Amino acid sequence: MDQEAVVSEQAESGSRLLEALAADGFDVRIAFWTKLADEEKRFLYLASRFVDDNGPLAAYRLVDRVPRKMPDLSLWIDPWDIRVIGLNDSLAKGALELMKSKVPESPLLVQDPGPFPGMTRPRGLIRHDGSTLGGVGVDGVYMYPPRSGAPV
Amino acid sequence: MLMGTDEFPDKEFSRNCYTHAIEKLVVLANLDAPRKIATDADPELLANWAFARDWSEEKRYHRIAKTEAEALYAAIADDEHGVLPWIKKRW
Repeated sequence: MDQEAVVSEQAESGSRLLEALAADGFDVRIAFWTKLADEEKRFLYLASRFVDDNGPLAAYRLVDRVPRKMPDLSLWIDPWDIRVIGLNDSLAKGALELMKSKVPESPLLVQDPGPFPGMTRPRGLIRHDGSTLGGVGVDGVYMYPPRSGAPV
Repeated sequence: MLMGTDEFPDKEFSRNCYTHAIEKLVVLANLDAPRKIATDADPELLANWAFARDWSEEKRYHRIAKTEAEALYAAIADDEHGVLPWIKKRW
């Protein structure tokens, strides 16, 4: 498992961010924390059709507004922690595939994982222990379950 | 300025600079803290930086839509909120 697990405050703040983004019209199809194998930092990836339709720059403009409006949220999620990706991105495809078809069966997925370093309350994140996501090397993936009613 | 012009560059530092990874270069140039302050005050600069940050040298092999390529150029070159003018002010 990665040495830098998602802390509970970050996980909770991410969940609140997703709700706030949905209220602002930015519909996130799937969201997850992960660290790419060749990078040193973990990011919150937001996969949305908005990115495909309007481009990453427009998406960043919209997404960056939300933490600024919620000071308590920005304590745990810095805009620099966020990456927006389209639904055709390899990571998004990989995460959607995992969420859609493998949640009940995959031995690599753990619903409501037990406490791991830095995390006292799992908050329903789904952990993927595989070393790749959509063919991309990763070190630990923590996915948010889809919002109720949202298609996966 | 990273070092005086008459200083011999540290070998480890020089080796670390041989990268396309913009975030590593920002840290090596001691620009991460000034950038945080600047982007906190300028949302457009933040969006431009975030967009430019996601580029990688691997993308030169990808097909990129003309609109996205033009947007990336603008994010980097924009006189008021662009990444490159911001960096140039700190050369």
